[in-house]
Amino acid sequence: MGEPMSKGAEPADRGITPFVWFGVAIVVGAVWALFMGLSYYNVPTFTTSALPTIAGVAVAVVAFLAIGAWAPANE
Amino acid sequence: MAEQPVAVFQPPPAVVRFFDRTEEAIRSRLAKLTFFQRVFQLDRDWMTRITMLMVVASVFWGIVGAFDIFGFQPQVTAFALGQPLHLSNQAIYSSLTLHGIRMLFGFAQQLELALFGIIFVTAFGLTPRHKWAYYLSVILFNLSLVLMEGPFYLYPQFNDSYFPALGWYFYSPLGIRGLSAYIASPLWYFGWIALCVAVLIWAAWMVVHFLDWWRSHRGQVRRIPPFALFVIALVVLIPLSYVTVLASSTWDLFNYFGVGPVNPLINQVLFWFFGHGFVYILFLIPITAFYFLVPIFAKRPVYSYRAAVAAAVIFTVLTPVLSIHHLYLTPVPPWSAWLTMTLTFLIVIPSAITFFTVWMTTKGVKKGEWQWNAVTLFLLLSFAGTMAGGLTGPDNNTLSFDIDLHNTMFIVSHFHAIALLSIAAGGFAVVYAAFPLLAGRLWYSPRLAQAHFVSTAIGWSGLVMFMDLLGSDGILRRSLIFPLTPAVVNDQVWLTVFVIVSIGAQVFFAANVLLTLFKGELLTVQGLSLDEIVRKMAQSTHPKPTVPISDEKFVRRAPRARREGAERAWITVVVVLILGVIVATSPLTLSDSTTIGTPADPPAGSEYLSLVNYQYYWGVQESGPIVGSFSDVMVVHAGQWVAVNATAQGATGGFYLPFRNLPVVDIQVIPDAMSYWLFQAPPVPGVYAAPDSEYNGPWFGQDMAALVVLPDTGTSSLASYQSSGGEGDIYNPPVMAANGAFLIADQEGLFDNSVPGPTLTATPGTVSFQYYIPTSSIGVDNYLVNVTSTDPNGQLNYLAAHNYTLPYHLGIYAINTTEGDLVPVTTQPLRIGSVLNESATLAAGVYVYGLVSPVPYVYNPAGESTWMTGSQQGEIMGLWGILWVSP
Repeated sequence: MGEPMSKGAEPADRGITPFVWFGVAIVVGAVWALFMGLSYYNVPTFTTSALPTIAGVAVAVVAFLAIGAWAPANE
Repeated sequence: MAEQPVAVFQPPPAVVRFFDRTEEAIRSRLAKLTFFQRVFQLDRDWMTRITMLMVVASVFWGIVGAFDIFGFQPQVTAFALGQPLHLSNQAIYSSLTLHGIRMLFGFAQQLELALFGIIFVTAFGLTPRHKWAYYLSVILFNLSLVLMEGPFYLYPQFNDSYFPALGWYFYSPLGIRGLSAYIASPLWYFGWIALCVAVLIWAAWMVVHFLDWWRSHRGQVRRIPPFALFVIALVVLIPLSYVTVLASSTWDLFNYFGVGPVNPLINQVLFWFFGHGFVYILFLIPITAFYFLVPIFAKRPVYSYRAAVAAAVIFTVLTPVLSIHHLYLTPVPPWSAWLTMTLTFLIVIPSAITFFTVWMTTKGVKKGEWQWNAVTLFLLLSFAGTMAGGLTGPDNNTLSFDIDLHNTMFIVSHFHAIALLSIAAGGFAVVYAAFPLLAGRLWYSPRLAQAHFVSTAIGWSGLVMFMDLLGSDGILRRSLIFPLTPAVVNDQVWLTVFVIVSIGAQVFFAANVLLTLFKGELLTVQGLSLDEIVRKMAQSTHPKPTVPISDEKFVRRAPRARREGAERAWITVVVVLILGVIVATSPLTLSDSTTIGTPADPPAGSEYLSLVNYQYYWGVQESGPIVGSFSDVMVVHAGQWVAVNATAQGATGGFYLPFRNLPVVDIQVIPDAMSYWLFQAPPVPGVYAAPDSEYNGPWFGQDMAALVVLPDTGTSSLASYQSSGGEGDIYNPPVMAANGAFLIADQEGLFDNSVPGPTLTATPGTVSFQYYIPTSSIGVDNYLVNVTSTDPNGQLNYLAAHNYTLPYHLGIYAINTTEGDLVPVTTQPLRIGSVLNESATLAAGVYVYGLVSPVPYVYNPAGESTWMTGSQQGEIMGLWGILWVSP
């Protein structure tokens, strides 16, 4: 008591930040792209011709998000 | 921007003075009319005036280009729903190709040049010079689009079907007199040359001004703003790209007049140095928008300047060398295909850097510090759209996967995801951020801006999604004729709906632009920085803005080493993944490319198919166990190895067997070159459709062959074929019982909307069915009656004069597999408007029915076809099918 309370976030600052919204945009776009590639799952050469590329893209998206979350803010 | 006084020590040349006086006379008169004064900003400085002229011209071409699609997609929908088509095949073909030309160049390229020019001059505080060079560039640019339209006639009847119609894609030697059945007007090539000169003048103008800035700031510049790096990339890439299409078009023009060597494959390689580079030139719109606008709205510098520099450099170096990835399925040397694939994967790196850097620029920005106005919303859409479109790029780039995707609607979906969701969305972000500066007024209606964003996002997303669904079924792009399965019909109808939504959405934008010009609040910029001006302009698209536009002092707390460490970690992952994908896909890539480029060494007992893709049918020569010479028919045994060597005459074609249960066969065939493939025929006897997969003229939809797979020995029913779904080849014709069948021809000259026509089945003995070619199916778009008079009743008058009988025969023909021909069993004259009875006693075997040889067709309304106008002819087969007789 008597100590100044730490200042909380302003109401306008609470909620989803632009960083998160752009992250959501990345996820939506990437899921779409992966869906487009995976829609060829019924092609018999899919495993050898397409899957390495699609898997590479999927791993890259996960790494993108993970490194982005880990990286220091732009401050 | 106010007119800057320029010190003049000597009068300009007389011709410049004349132009200046003329311009002033026109400007002062038009400025008295409020409409012109506002729309063209006639009371402003010359740079603003020319920029507005470019913006208005780009909007004009955008409107024309958008409506061009109504010459195609509604016709597709009509075909899907069994309704009459209202345009000729020539007009449909031209509409689609001109849609691409006008949207890509007239609209997108011109808008890019306009905005980049004025933003560059404004942001760098330059005084623009060389007004008439800039004018010349704009005039030539728009003249080129008029020339590419080709000639049209106002008299005796309006006729604009002499479009050159070579379109965006390049099918060398399509369009060349003496080499192709489809001859473009030479205006087409002059148009291309004018376009190249126009854009090169613009690039030179930019270089001159950049050098002005560099000289005046030498020694004072610590770093060039990140967005400006990509403006410089544009100025570098334009000459590198446009010079190659200038060479290709000039070569075409020489060939057109019979001069110079002919090499369609090398010509295409040359063209695609431009074709690829151009897409990346447009892609610089969203990239520059991100680097320019995101730091402004985040009120902090870009996350890593050095990463942005690296992205700009790699992007600029790699872009000009990726031509061959558009020609993977042609007989290019395998090493070049592999090298291009590798380099194309590497160009993922600058995009990966850019999107990480831009995303991280927003990290640390609080919700209350960021405003979701029209600018930032379109940036968000562009961010998602670039992911959706860009991350399918590696799929296309994997040669072994490209065989499945090439020329299907997947490519159209990928392209529109990039063109609309990425490039155009980024472009709208720039327009919302910059247009008030041009207009001198703030945006009039935030609600219209919101409505524009929402409806555009919905329209474009739906459009891209249904294109993709069609692609995954194996449907070819630009195809007017396609299998009428419920799923395909449904997807085509929904695609049309989203096309209409996409175009309708732009009405909100157009209304806001006009209201802004006439009723918008005046923009005042005194005392504001450039960033604050941009925020102020963008703020006028938000109904209840709360975020202040003022700059804020930024104190860097995260050290550069840590930020660059994150960038390095990300790029390391990307490089490792790229290397992994290259290693995993290289063997099949090299194997496929080698197979396309070298004659096969097939096992004993293989069938050899020598194919020539004519405009618009396949000439087939067979040797091996089956000997034959056929049109559009290939005959093999079940499970037999088939060695294909194929070439083309008149235009580049494509041999496509869109199997889903077997490996797809898809090779491009080019005149003066030989493409090869080796594949095993389906194990199940049946009739497998093989469409020409290249858009090589107005009748390419009818250009469909049938791979007739006979049983190894004896006879076989089609029960297994039907139960197996025909190996997933969606283009397979429907199967129906012959006896009692009533085949009706449609407007495109096909039986039951299918080419080949329905596969009829019967047991040995008497087989009877009926044909009917209604008089209502005859018109200018039906190749059967070669009267292309401007008289709308010309075809019907011809029929009446010839007793409704055409000089062709319908019949039943046995396939002779040892002596190599079709043997007539029964034939009868082709009559229009009468039910024709077909009846014969047939033994077990496979037959071809209908009109089994190509019909010559010349498009020449009112005798207007000349070498200067352009001309179109071809040989078309549509009224035919397979009759399968088995116990």
